[in-house]
Amino acid sequence: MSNKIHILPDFLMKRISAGEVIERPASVVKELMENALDAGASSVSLYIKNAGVGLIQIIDDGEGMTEEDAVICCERHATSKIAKAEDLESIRSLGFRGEALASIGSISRMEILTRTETDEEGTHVLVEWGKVQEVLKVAARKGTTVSVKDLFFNVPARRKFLKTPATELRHMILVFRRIAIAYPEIDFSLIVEGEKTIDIRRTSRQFRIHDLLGKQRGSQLIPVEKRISNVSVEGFVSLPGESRRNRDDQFFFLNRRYIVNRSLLHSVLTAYGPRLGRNEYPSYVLYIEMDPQQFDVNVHPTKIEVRFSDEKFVHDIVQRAVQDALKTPGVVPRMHFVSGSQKGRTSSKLSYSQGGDWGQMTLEVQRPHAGEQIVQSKKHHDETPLLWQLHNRYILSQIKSGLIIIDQHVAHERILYEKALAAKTRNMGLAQQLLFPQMVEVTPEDFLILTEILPFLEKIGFGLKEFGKNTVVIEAVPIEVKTGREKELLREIIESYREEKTLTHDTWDAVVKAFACKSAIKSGDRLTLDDMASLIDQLFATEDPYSCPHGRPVIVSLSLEEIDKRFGR
Amino acid sequence: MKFSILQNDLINALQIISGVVPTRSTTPILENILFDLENGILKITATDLEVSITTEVSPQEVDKHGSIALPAKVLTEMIRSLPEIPIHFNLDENNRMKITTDKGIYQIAGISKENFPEMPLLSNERTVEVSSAMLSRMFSKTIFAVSSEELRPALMGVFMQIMSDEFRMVSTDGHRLAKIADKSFRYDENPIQMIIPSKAVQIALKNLNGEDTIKLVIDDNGFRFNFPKTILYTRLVEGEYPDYERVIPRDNDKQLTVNRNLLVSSVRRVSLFSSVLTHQIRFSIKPDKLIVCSEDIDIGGEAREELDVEYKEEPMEIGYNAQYVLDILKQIDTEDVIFLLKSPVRATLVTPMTQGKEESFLMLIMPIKLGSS
Repeated sequence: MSNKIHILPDFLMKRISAGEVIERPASVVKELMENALDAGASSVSLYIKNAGVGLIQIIDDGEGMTEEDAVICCERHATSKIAKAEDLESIRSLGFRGEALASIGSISRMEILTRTETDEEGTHVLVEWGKVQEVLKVAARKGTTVSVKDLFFNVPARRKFLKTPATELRHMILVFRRIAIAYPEIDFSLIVEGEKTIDIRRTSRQFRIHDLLGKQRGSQLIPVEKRISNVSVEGFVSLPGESRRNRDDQFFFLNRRYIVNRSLLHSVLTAYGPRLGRNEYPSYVLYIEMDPQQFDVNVHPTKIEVRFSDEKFVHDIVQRAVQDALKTPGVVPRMHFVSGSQKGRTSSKLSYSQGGDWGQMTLEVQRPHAGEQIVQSKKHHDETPLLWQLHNRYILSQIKSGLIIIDQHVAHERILYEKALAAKTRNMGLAQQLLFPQMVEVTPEDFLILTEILPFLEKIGFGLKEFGKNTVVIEAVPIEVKTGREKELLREIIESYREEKTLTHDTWDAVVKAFACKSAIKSGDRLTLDDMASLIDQLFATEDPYSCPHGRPVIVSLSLEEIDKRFGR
Repeated sequence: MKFSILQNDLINALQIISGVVPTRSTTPILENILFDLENGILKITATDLEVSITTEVSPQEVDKHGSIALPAKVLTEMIRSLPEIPIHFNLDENNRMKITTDKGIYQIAGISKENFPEMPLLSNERTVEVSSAMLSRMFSKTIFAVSSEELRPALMGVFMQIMSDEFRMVSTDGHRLAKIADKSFRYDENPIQMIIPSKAVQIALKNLNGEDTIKLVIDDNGFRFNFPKTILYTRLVEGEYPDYERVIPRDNDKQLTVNRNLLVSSVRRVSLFSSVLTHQIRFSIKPDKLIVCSEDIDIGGEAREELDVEYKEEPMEIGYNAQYVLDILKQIDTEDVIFLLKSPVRATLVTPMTQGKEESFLMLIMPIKLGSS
């Protein structure tokens, strides 16, 4: 009887383990680019042919390898990056397992051409399906070039699972982008099928983001900066209302490694809170720096997942960082006209990108220049504030750099929202008693809802009394509420609360939002100059004058430059 | 149409009617005024379709009768800026009005009379004669509480009730109410009640002076004031006036008596420290002491004043909109004012210390419930 259990031949082991690391051509790109960065390259070029199955070639100008190293690295667990167990605790380099080249070599035909600074001659190593076929001394530039051909040729199962060439190419470019964003001080170029697709020079983080996300999109990001104890969070986030319909522009870098982490994603979404609409995703590029001992990247072979020793702490810092950035005074959506072919978009969102191509009208964020403040229309007794009402819907006001446009309804909504929230904590919703109490009959279903939210409404300032079956009497309303429509208001609040409640589990929040939305002045209400001035004063007294409780922008600015441009000046 | 008129006579007439001309109208013709020269009398008319006014003035010289609508604003401004000199009007066949003074010549394009809305005729009319002084007093005591919220139209006018032994006016915006009645009035026919829009009341107030008797002509939809040289017509506000009698408290038994002028000054000063949004102030009432105070959490302001008053009941804290309190105090003619209270969430009744002869005047103000902090 022969033994059933036996040691796998070396080549087979390599091939199996390679499957863990190298899932698709993009994995090769990732491993090889990370090697190049770990080698201290200042310039990295990536050549792709036939969606990576034909050729993946990385050329770097890093420190290169000696002949010995070049041969050893094709063996498994060969690495220059760690030597002893303790080193695993303080991983600063991107790669460390020492299996990348060995893995890639076992499923492709791989050539390495390398020379160190001190060596006179370079080394050429050819590996085929895991076996070193030849080692030659050749002339070579300093640095390393790794060429991978016929990837997965000997692993039909893997080859079968490859997606369309376009998808594989997209994944490779995603990897390339992630790395390029993390390393702005390095030159990168990407050559696909002989054509230079991306060619970017070393620059600052901000300009690197411009290069890779598009200039317009890049300039719409708000800077983030926060440091608490030894954790720092820097980077950029998109303005609420600038969110995309997909998650393509979301990047977390932990000590410059691109990572995916549910908790961090959650922290960003929490920071945005209700500013985001349904199916909207913020764009962000966040660089987190912290002591490597406080997290573990050795969770998954691709090192894309991370485990933090204090996840809550990191979560909270990121959330605070993003929250603070979003609250920065002066972060005002700026209206930006692109072409003459306006489609007259009338939806509440002024814009969102469509397939990366920015639409008709876009918003961009710009901090006011030093010293410039939004003109708070404090009424000087001798001068009328520069305010106009547009179609009984928007308030226009002159500011130093041009014009701001305020949506009167959402502005008032923001004011009422914060007043009502304050009423909860300070317990002082002011209730104007009504001379003529209003009797309201509602459906049995609505009556149940009303009973549920009654204590909350009373805190805001409503005075309600049950009056027989499915009927309440309104005896008082919050002082901010216009007289004359108490009945309708109560019905609308119940209706709106029902919708809000589907979005949140927080009853209080849903009540406050429903109240703010329904009590606010409407689009179409005529406002006097005093009304407008008072509205603006109150708006700027709120914590977040730039977005309504549902996340819609309240203020849009239009610069003189933009207007000048429209007039061809 | 050709006539001469003294600047002073014309501008007086124009000022009477100018309040009716709408500043911005969707019907541009309404921004004009109608000149109608007939039987040696110039009638000048303005209308906004709800309120119409016609006043008469006698020109110095009349050469030719006729009529024309002229742009109100430019005409009024121009006449106003002239000195007291004769002005000569001459209309040509192309509806251009040539205005000549010894200062110069001016021309305005007019619009023919046919395009100008006619003053509505009343049908089934009934006539009531009242004294100008009474009407003026009652309007002026009620107009302040008229609502400006279009959401409840019935409250946007003064409710006038003509009863057999009482002439009464009521106004309310749902937060405060004023009711004034003249009990010397007698009327033999069926009682009449109607809601007069506030714009008409304001214009009527300007024309109510002197000791004249005014004729009120009423039908189902409209109402006409026949002043000596002016006729003011208004449509009535439709809708049912709320049952105000029901909300006037009968059992407010806590009486606070306070000097009106002192209270006005205190409230005015203290309200400067209240929130601009709510104008909320607080009356802290103790035996023979009234503390008026306010605070604005947003700006961190605070104010407090103490007044000697007459009050014998148990202490009470009650919140008001300072603006409402001031509006109400402004209507009080007596040295002292009486506040009749029940509780911090029930209507406060305010009356003058003594009522005028044959008069009954009361006001209500609804408090603001203070947070239970």
